[in-house]
Amino acid sequence: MRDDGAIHRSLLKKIYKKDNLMKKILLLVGLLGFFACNQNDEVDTVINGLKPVYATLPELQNIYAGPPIATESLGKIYAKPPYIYLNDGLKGVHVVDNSDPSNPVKVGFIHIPANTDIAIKDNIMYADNGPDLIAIDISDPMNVEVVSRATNTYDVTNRAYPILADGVYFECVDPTKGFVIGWEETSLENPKCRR
Amino acid sequence: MRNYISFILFSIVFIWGGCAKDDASVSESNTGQGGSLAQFSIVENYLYVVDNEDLKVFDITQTNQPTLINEQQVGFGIETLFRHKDHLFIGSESGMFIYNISNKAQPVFISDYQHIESCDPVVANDSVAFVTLRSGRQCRFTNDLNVLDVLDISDINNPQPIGSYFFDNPHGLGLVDSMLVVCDGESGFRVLNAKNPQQLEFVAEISGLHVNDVIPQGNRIMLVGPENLYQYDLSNPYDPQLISTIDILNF
Repeated sequence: MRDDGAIHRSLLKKIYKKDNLMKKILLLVGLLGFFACNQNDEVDTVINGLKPVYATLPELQNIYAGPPIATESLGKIYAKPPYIYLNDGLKGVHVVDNSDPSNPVKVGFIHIPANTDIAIKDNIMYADNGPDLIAIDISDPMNVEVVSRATNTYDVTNRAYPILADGVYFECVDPTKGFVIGWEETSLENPKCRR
Repeated sequence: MRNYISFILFSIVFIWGGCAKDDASVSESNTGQGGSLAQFSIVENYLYVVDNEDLKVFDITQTNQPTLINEQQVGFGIETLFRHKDHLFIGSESGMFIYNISNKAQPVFISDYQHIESCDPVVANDSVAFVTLRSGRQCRFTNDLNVLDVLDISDINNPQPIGSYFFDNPHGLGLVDSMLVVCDGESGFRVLNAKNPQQLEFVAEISGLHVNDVIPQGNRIMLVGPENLYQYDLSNPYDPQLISTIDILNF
């Protein structure tokens, strides 16, 4: 009975005893084969995109007015003379004094984490704040106070993506990590979410 | 003498009647105004809110204590909310929905206008609705349609498309009397005369700005883009005059 293993070993011995050129050719073929087989499996897709910035509940609910800040990413506009309010990213609204429309002046910023929209009646500003709808007393726009909170008005899973961003890849939102209050640029490896 | 008394009584009733209407307009003037991309709308003592799939109604008679009194599912991908008199026009990824709010606490579905999926802010007057549709992944499905659709809503139960106008990438829009202002993204904005809804007339085009939404205030319009706030005088709609511009990023 022939032993295929023995035949195999004897072949190898023969190859081994062949001259150096043959060995080099075999080595080269072997290496090429190795790389050819593995080329498409090992490289990750890396793309520029966005990742969520998470906040704790106290951070999400930290509503306050402060001095003017630099603008990053404007969204919606709301006007109640003499002011114009400009929503910025998911941070809150710039307060612009438009008493003289030929010379509008930024006078402050109302910080409302995760905010996308507002409406105002009398001196009360209604705003979305994560899952809640809040009422903010803006009698003094430089010194605001939350006066009521309607909890769980919004289903935040429906809003788990960056707004005003066409075709962008992003790191999928993980609600166990907290509330999304912003998005920042990053390099993403094999991103699974896209807007 | 009797005629005198009748006249006085009649006048009192007449003036009372007038005052009742004024009360409504006084409370209207205490609210601000959003653009066509808004998801909030205040009508007297009610706050309407749209959220992705739902329309919610809050009672704000006690202004500092909004109370949820009504909630209903509208569709999916709800984007915008616009009110004209007794109707709410809701823009979504799949189309425009019209609700009647004669009973403000309880909106009632009237009709819808379906189209291929894309974003659509909407504004309307008594007889016509104007909707923009634009391409771009944010609107969930890529398509190359960038248009302004004009709908006859004189029969509110049955919106009828009566015209379509091409734009580059139209976003928010606003009405100044019969003039329609359409924000065209990076292409600036255009003004159209909508006096004859069957045939809109392009009357002005301002390029060189990037604008996404507009709020009309009398003869003035406020336009916002990702980096700038512009104000124009539209007293002569054929020749919009720049009032001010703020470079918001460096402001």
